[in-house]
Amino acid sequence: MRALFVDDETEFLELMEKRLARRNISIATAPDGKTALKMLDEALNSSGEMFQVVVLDVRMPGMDGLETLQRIKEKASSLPVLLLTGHACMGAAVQGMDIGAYDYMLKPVSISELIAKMEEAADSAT
Amino acid sequence: MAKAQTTHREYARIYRRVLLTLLLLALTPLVALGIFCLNRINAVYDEKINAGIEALTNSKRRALETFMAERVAQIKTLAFTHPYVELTNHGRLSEIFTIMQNNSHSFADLGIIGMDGRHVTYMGPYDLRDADYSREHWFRETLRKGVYISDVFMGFRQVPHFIIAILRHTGERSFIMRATIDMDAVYALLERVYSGHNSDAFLINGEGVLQTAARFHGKMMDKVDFSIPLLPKEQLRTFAVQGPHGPMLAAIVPLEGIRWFLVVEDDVTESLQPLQRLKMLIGIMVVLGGGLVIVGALLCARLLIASLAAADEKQAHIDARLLQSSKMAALGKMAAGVAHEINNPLMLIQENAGWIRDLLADEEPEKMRNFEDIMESTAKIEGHIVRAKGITQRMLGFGRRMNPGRAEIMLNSLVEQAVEMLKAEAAARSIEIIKQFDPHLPVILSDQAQLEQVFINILDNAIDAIGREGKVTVMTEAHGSGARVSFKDTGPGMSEETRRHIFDPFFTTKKVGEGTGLGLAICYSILEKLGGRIEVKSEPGQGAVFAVSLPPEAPVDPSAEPQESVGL
Repeated sequence: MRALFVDDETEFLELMEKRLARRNISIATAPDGKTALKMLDEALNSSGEMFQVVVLDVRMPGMDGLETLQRIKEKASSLPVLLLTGHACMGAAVQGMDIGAYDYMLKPVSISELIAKMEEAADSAT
Repeated sequence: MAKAQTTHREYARIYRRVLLTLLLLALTPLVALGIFCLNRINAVYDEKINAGIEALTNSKRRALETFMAERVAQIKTLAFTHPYVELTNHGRLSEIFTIMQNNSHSFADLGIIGMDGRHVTYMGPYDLRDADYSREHWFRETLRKGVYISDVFMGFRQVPHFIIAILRHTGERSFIMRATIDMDAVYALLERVYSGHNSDAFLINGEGVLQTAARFHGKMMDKVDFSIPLLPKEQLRTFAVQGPHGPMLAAIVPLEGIRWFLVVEDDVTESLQPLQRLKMLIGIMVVLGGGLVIVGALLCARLLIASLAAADEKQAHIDARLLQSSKMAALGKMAAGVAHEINNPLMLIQENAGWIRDLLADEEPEKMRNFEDIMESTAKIEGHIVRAKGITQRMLGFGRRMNPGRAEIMLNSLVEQAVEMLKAEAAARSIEIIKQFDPHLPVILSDQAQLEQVFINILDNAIDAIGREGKVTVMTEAHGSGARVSFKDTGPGMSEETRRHIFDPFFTTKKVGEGTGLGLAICYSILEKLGGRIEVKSEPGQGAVFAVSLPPEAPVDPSAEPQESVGL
């Protein structure tokens, strides 16, 4: 499974990369929405491997999670997106579900739950 | 306390002002009306009484003047129409006198007096034939003026009387015809139907000598201290005199042709009695009205102050609630901000702990000296993260605004559920939970999950407050159109200071680490959202009562987040 993690907290991305790699999941990371969209474009232009799931932080500076989600859905409507959110952004998470997010998870999240949810999302797309 | 005193003083000040204003507004016209009425009545009565005495005096004056003029004319006619010879004939004079007396009993005697001052003939009851009048005042005055009416005098007969004397010259002879006026005739004229028992009418000359007897001033010919005003003819004057039974009204008028004055005295007190009664009646009415006004003003002012105090108290309650609300909102916002900022590092700590766990999985435990300790510490870190997560989530939940769920709730069973959840905990601490449920509680429309959280929270606090051994009484009852749930514990109670801050976020009396100080703050904010309220009653050593009032239906806030995001 190949996943794209989008989060402005780079330390979080690094840890996720390392921890998921140990569980045989390779991920691509993007520190913001703009980079994420660029990477998605590259993958779509078949220059790289296509992602099976996107894990997206809701609260980010610049382009926020919801806008990024909207853009992703425009480019690849079938690509499942998991929203990661703090409790304060619950409303935004629910809004995200309306836009087309697969599901949302509350931070901090346990790694096993996250993997299970990612697999569930990836399966739903196929 | 000082504030309460200031408020009390303020109320007292307003009370005095209102009372004064009311009294002034109501009493001024009342008193003015009373005074006006009395003045008008006095004026009207004065006018009436004056008019009465004036009319009486004038009619009496005219009668007296006519009487005098007639008597003078009679004597004059007699003197000028009969020859001297006839008049000095005793038999003839007797005849004439008899005819005169038959017509009017005004004369006491009649005589012809020669220029020597001695009687030529005399007809009357006294023997005056030898009397010499040549030195008498009246004799000289008659010679001088031709006609003379005397004042009352004693004369030779030693009886008070007055005379009319006419001088006639008949060529070779002159004589004076002199008649004594019967005082009874004058008294008869003065008599009248008096308006009161103490009324009187009498004659007085210019020197203050009574010409007729006066009831309150003396006998005939007494000189009395009576100030005789200088009056032009027919000019009447009224004045007040002191009678034996009080003030009297008097009128004095000069008589024409004589130097006498007619005085009429009337007992005013008698005529004034209806006026006095009316005055008293008005006085009583004014006093009664005044009393009524004072009582009314007192009641009015008291009612006003009571309403004012009630309104102020209500406003103070509203202000306190608004203050608490805004305090909650501000603190909620802050709590949410803090929680969110803490959440990120918390997440990183968790991920790092997870990474340590991942790395430890690669190690051989027996080759690592502290493997067990590291594993244990990692687990502890994770445990504390879970605890911190709980706190931040509650903090976030506290600050959030959302529409409450609206389900039909049987409050009794909901409270029962909350009790069931904590029953074991209470039993372990020998705390009895007594349920007093009202079976006729109305079904309310509200958020079940949030209400349950509120009840559990309050009950949990009650158990914590008691510690060991005690009772918690949970009571439900209908309250207005909604319901009320009360939790009464036998714990240590709380001070006023604690009570005042009990619903403030982060306020706790528990030991550090045992409570976040958010429980009751969350209850408060939940109930605020549900349109209800929570109140506490407690005194140190008296336990505490937390009462939750709920409306029949929770309100809907359109600006709040949708209801799906339930959960703290």
